[in-house]
Amino acid sequence: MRILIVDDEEPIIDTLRPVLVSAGHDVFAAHDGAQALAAIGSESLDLVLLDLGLPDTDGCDLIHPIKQIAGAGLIVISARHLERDKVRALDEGADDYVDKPFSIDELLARIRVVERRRAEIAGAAAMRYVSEELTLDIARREVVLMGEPVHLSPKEFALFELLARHSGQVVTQRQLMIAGWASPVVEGQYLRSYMAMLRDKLEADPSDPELILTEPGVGYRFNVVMRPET
Amino acid sequence: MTSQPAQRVAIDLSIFLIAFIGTHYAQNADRPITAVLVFLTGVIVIAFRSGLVSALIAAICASLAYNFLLSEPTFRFGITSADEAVPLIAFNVAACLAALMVGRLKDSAREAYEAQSETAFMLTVSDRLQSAVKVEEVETAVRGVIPRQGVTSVEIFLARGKAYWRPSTGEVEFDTLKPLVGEEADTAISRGKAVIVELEGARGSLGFVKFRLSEPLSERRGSSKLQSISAMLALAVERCLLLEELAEARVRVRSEALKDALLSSVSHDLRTPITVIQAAAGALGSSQISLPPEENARLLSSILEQCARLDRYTAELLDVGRIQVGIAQDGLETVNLTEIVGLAIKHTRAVHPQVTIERSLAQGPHYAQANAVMLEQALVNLIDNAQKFGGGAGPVTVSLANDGSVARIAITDRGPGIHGDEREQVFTRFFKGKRGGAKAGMGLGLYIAKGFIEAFDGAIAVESPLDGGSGTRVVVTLPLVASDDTSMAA
Repeated sequence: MRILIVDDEEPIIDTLRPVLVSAGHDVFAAHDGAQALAAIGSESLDLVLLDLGLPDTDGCDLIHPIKQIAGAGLIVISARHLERDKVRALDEGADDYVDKPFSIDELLARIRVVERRRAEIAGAAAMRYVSEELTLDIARREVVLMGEPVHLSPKEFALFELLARHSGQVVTQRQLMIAGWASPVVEGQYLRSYMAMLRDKLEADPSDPELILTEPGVGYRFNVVMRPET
Repeated sequence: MTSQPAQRVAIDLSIFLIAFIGTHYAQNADRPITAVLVFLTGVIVIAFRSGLVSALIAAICASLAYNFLLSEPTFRFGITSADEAVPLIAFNVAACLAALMVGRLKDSAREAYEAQSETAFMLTVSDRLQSAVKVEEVETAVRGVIPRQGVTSVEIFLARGKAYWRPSTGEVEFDTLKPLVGEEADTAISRGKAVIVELEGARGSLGFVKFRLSEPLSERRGSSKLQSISAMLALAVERCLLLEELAEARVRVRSEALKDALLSSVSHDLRTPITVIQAAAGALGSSQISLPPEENARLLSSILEQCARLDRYTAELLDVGRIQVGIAQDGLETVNLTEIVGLAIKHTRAVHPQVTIERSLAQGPHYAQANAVMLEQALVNLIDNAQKFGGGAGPVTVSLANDGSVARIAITDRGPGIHGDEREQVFTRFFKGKRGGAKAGMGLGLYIAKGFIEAFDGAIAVESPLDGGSGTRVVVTLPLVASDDTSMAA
């Protein structure tokens, strides 16, 4: 992939560049918003790693050009004090985020998820997603867990479908509310109870979830790779 | 309205007397109709001057006097013929009616005048109160207007928990009864010379106001006037309290925002080196990643660099902590400034060999009271700052001069200089200039230098831009002390 790193700290770029190059990517770098916009306009990019704390621009202002003009995937790299901006960036279309400081393996895993999803989107929209244990059939509205059909209510199904389509990536509370209730301003308690019911039906131990992970303050992440089937 | 009652009665009596004499002459000149008219005129003038009650008294007195002294038979009440009765009855009726009508007219005119002047007074009070923006000013605002109304003093006490607080003086009274009655007040209150009114605000009782009066409060109107003044005072006090709450809330929001900004700045500064270290160490240790040996070496050196950066930040934060706690004066020793300046230059040269540092140190030794390690740190911060922001443009000059009582250490760079309001802020904690970028560090170097220098009774000042529109000079002055051979430390 062609990856643009946007970060005002030279040492971070210097560290990420050789790692990404060795993973087979082409790497570009921008130190501020102006350089980032120039790169978005001139290079064809597959993915942008965006630090929200830029000296000249609000990082969120770059999301639109990244998604609409460059059509690139976007992973937000944020320091913890920019929590609110991070959620805003995800709601506005960022694909995922990593918190600083991050483990390099985790970052590479997130990059692979974006890469995989970009390949999927390039193909036809899938109606069936499968993993080793789970099958989701969107046309038939069926979920099968280890060979056993799982009965989900329409709302549970809508929430699960969104999580499974974005498997491996974070899905914000707002996105889930829109999927389940067609409104972004639903009482957070409703969402939490539906996620608890989904865990009851899908997790081996709902008190120690392994499939549906909570991302505190952000949303949920479905921690299983669901491959699309056509 | 201005004449005193006694004076008024005296004038009324004179008028009555003049009218009586006039009537007497007219009567002697055998002009009974003129006599009656003169007396009647006197009664009407009194009614016009002094109102209904005086007019009626005057009318009755005139009637008796006329009957007893002037009309036949004199010195006797009584009527001898119908001829005498007619003018007497006509006089009595005319006098009483005239007194009634003119007196009543006069009274209502006076009431109207009083009401108008009261309204005007209330308006003045209200205007004065409008100008008060602090609760302390409310009492002062009315002090100038109220005494005219027979009030000698106004004291406002506001409830604060269980105590009472007088905003104009700042006194706090814990004995709730004392401000209420005061030392001598029980006698004053019992004589009606002090009035206490509760100040009622929209959110309940605010406290109370105490009026001291020049004469006892008797009429009902006087007390209702004090009530209206108190209501206006309560409004003014409440408005001021709300304004203060608003201001406090604004300050709180601003300081919260400042704290947030500081916290995010520190968090960014500390997290960046950790991010680099974690990512680089992860890449070196990961089984998924294999890098050419020269890249591995670069990652290792950047780990070491970032560890040094983190160490520097930690040391700076500790120094800030030291300054905030306060540097003890008894830990200071006599230090040789020439030596310390030389050490600081040597230290900076070792870290930044590419920068040219020119030294121009006056023949020494020069001694000052300081902590050697902290003074060196302060100077290193200043020289480091100079090379960071002006080092590329030419040499950094460090000079030491002896001004008699003080030593002047100047660090001059040839960089672009500091412009606008940034100059005032360079010594502020966590301040980073706009053009500093990533090399700005945490924004603590100058703050620490200033804190240390001031702990040694010295001063620090920045001149920028210098003649020619560029360059920055930071001047440190330290009081010199006589050499102290027994504790020559450096």
